[in-house]
Amino acid sequence: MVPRYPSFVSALSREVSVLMRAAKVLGLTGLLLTLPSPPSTAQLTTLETEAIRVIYLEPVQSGLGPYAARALENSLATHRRIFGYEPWEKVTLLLRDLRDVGGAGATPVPRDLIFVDIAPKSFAYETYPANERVNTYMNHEMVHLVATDMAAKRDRIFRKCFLGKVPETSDHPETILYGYLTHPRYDAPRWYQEGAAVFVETWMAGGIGRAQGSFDEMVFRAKVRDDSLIYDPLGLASEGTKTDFQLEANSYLYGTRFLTWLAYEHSPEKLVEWISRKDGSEAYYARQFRAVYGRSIKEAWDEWIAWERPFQQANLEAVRAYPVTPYRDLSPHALGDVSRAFLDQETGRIYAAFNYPGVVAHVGAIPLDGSPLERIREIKGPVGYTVASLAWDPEARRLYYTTDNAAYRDLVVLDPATGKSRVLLKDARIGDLALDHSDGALWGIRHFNGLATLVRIPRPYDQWEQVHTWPYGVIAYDLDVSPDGRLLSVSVGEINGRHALHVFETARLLQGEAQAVSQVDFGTTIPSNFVFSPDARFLYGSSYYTGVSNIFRYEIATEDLQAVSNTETGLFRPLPLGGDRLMVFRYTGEGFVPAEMEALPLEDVSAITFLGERLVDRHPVVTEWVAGSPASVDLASRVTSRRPYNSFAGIRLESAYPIIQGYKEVAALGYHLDFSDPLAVNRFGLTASYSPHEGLNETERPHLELTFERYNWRGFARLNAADFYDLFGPTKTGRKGTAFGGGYRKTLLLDQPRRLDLSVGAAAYNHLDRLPDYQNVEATFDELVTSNARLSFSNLRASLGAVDYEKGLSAEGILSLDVVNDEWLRGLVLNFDVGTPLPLKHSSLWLRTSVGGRSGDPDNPFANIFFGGFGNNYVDHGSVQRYRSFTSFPGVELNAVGGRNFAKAMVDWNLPPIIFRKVGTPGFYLTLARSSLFVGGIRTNLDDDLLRRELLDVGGQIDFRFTTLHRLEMTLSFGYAVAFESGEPDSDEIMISLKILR
Amino acid sequence: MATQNSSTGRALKFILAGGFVVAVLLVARLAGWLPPSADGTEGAIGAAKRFQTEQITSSDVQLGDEENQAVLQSEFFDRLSKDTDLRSSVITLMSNPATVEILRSESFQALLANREFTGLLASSDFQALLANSAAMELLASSDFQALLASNDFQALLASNDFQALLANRGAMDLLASSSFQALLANTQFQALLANREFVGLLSGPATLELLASNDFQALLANQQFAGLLASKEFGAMLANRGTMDLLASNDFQALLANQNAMELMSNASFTALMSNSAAMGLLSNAQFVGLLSNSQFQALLANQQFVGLLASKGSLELLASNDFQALLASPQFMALLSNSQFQALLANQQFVGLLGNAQFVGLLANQQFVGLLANQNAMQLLASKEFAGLLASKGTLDLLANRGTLELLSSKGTMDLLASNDFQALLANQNAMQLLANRQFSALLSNSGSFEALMAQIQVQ
Repeated sequence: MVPRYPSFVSALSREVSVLMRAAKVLGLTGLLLTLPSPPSTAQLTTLETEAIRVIYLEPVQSGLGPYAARALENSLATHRRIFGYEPWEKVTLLLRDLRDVGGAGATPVPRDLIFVDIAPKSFAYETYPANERVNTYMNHEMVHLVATDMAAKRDRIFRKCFLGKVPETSDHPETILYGYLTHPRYDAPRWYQEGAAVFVETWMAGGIGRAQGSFDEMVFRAKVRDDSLIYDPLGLASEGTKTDFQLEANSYLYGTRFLTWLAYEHSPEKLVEWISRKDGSEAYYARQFRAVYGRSIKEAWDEWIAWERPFQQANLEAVRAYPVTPYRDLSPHALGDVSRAFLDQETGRIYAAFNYPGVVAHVGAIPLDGSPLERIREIKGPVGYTVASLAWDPEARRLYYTTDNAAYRDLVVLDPATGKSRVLLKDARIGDLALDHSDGALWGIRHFNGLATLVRIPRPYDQWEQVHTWPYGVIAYDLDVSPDGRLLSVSVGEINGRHALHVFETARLLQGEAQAVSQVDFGTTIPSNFVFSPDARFLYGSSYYTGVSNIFRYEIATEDLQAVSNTETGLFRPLPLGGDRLMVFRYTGEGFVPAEMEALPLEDVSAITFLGERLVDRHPVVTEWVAGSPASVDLASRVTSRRPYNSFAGIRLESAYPIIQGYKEVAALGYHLDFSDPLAVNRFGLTASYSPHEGLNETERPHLELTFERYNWRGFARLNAADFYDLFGPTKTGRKGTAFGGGYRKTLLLDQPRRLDLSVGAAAYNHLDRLPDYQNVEATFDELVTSNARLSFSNLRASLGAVDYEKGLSAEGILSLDVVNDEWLRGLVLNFDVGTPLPLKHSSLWLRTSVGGRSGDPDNPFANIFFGGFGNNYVDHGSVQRYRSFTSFPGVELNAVGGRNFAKAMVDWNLPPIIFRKVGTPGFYLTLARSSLFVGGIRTNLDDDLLRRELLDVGGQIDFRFTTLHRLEMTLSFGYAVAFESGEPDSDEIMISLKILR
Repeated sequence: MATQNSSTGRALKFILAGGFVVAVLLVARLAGWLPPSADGTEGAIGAAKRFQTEQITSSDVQLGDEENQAVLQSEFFDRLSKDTDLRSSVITLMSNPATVEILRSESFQALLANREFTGLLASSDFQALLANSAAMELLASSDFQALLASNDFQALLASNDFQALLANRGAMDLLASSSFQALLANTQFQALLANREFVGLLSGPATLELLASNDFQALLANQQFAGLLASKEFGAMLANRGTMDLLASNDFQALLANQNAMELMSNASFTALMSNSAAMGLLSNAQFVGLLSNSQFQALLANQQFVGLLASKGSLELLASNDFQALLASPQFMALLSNSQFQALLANQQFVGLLGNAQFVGLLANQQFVGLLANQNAMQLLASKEFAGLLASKGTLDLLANRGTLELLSSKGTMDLLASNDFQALLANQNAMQLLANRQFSALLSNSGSFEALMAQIQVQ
């Protein structure tokens, strides 16, 4: 994964903050685990060699950290061999355990960094075949660094000019240019980045990977079978990754397929030539493509699609060589991602968790009589492909499911009759739930510190018991318990990428004996979702053994495995309905469709052909790309230091570059420097500029700004603050004089999507001529000390493919205390928004309200709150939907309406967005248009009839979001509003604004 | 038959026709008239071909911290990371130099190398114990720290028997039980744990053998016994100086080493007794505790015969009977226990010898006799100074040790007599008491001939 800067940096800083808190919480693990050494606390530790820096938590990850270092060194050596890649700087690797699903990411800016979520990864639907995951992640993420950090001579010159790689930041839009000059290959589409990484990763792992992946084959076979759209590069980026149920996963699927085909048709060596950024190569990835392949990407892409159709047609013919298993769909439309399903015999419904575009993820019921799907309860924190883990207790008539599935999972109980739910175990980190009907206990797999542990949760489900922990690298998943509670089945993936289905006796497991009584080896294909038949004689599950995901029946006593389906696309998650009937989920391009089929053993099922297999047959050179064993790295001889991570000692200059700013009506020229440590725990920014304009008072010509951030703390010092966006009216944020301030922000509750944040801040201003927050209001005193505390709560949700929140609420209280001319002014503002989805897809209606007031003399501008305008600048970097802010009031001038107190309300209708498929070029294209209509009213000075003002406004805004250089988002907004005030002429406002970057 | 012929004929035609078709197809295939089958459609379940080289294995992924992970994956560690109180207790404990010293000691290291011990650490029962706040408070207490620092404790940790005990499922269940956790919360029990003598006792070879024995394990697994351990009274008894003295005595060690004692402890009846509230009251009674510190009583406890008596089936039934429970609960019985003469009697070699006599034991185990003892009047008699004096007199003891006397006492007639209302009335009679206390009556009793004559007379009546 390639994250986006700068939101990535702040997210990383937040996560490091969480890591440090985790280190404190785990402080005593040092005491527990470092025996017989003297007691020590857990801490982030840095292990460095000449080429890499691995940061991990000691002593909790004292084994994993050095192993990851070996894997990274080993991977780097292979990338040197394949690409001739030499990192620009030391590559930093951060290990973290902040999620229950494994994954990794890499970024070349501001410095080369890889981060790994060490939890076991998901094998759902065989979307991610791999051998040991850290090894795989290193191979994959290093390709991202090759593709984005590798520098030709020109890049190296600019990196030296700017003293580093310049990250694009909306504070200084000039960085878009500097960024392209210092790391041009970062400006490439996601499908290219991920396609390259997956392709190389597969062959570095000796063939285990998505370039030879069954799921990938299925996706394109289904498209050909259904004659559905295969996106071109533009459509993929603008629509395919926004509205399709697989969203950004499409970048991996299309990218991998296209690059594999390129390698097949034109050789892997040419692919390497395209990805590499060697001296003489083209800076822009598309130009380099043309240089290597002699045609445009679009032309090659069309060739691939033309090739893909007959290839998949041949595979479909191979499947049809034997009778295809008939099925009957139980739903008229696809249901996106689905969880495991359960039959409620009593009501004739099938329960499962669903997540599809336009509807918030939920637990639902499919009536077997063909009635429409019923939504029972929304799921907080669904995860891709599997949504959530689900179990059903028919006796108690309760469903058990997991929330926060992409974070630390909770266990929740749900009454399907009433829809009421209750959290049983918070942050238990347990999934793969299975119910033991004999005693009502739940079994599950817990993820912690990279390991998978089989746990049992007896009634009343308020605590769990550790039953068996698999060693690192062995991943257990897809659990089930036989109806009599005697047997437990689980799929197990090994370090070498092989998988097997194991059956245990629960009684022996509870005695500490984890010896399977029966097992079947599936090789490198994944035994998915095997579940017991009612008589516990068979296990039904799916496997891509033939290359197509078919349903298999495993007889436990005889260890006999038989195919019971022959399908064209893929069948998953079988649910025995009685007799030979099974409910299954059938793959389609729109997601999974529940269907019913007869499960009769088949004698003949033919295999399909893999593109990856064809490739290696034609180009055996990829067999030379195998990375080998991380154990071959003699780490001890390479380690240069191993010590606690010191965020201050690691602070270095990131980059320095020239800037232009606006101050009042003139321009200023200057320089900006950024400093930070490898994990961006501490960030300093220094900006200095000068306005040479003679019309400006000499004391106002120099401009300085120093900013500092460390975890939740931030501070600033300014002299005649200037801002790039002040070059473009009407909003001016620059202010005369000096200012010093600081603040602290703490997240009191983070239970996504629920969060509660507290922030406090204070600032002192001197030599002011305008109010700091209201540019059009002259300051009656030039000194001001302000302070505020802000408490914000939000619980906002959106469905797959949404461009804005679609339901929920947010509340905020802002308390302020200012000192001006020895007068203390107190203020309080309360904001409350609530929204609900409308029947129209991705459309919602919101009520936004605010009340507030300040103390002090009404004639003192510091004692007033001012409203007016949309608030957007012509060129801007603030919120696009500024009209929602409590100080906005479209239709009147900025700060035109003031009062000591006020009440304000707005009804905001977000219309369904329009997603564009083909407007622009791959490097510059229109992604979507979102629009809103609103009507609002405000009343000020509620306690003073003479000063009171009452206004209404009505307006609308439309935002066109487009993407530049594949990853830099811009938004062009148009707004219009009319305001009405009794006794005053109507006023209106037109707003045009271009927001730079996200 | 005709039908059969017809069927057979049709089948034959089908076979011939099928054979012909197969032959034609075979010829056509060999001649190249038919296209070859597609890859992977040769029949049966075709496996898709995927390229693969040799993969890394577990030997390529050696982390070396697997033992640590066993602890980290436990529910205890999960609680530790979420429960601030528990965490602070553990930090207090682990920050103590004494703890560090013990953890760094060779004994503890040896223990860590013990698979059974590491298995214990990873067990859910042990996790439950550690997750208990009372246990944590105890571990963090200064008394417990002192215990950790003692040589005896180190010796205990290093012993094989202790390690065997830790690996025992019953012990684990006990440790994890709510009753035991309640016991841990008992301040008196905590004081006991910190007592040097108690630790000395624990590290004694006999204790360890006992603790590791199957019988004791069975006892530990008994719910009622767990209830006993959790009782306030038991805690009070354990914390008493007298108990300490007893536990620390050589005699008690000898008792622990006694096979019969083992059997006694694992017996269901004994366990039932121990869980009885009356027994609880007795254990915590100051007089009983005083008795515990009596060296003579300690000698009695260590006496093989006495232990054998207790472990006998009859005794056990007696001990478990309601009547015996009533006896235990009576204040008179308490008074008897505190009587110095009675205590002297218990320590008397002759009396101890008598306890080893099968007939005497049979008598004691007789329901009627126990019923008699539980009688209010009998209670008063037992508690009287006079009766204790009588029992302790040489004459009485000689008499009781006499075989004829024992046969007589055990006879049905005697039993009926003892159970009769008349005898009860006699016991209630003040004069009878005086008679019993009379020295001459004792002399009479010591004369077996006259006693037998007297008893014979009674039976005849």
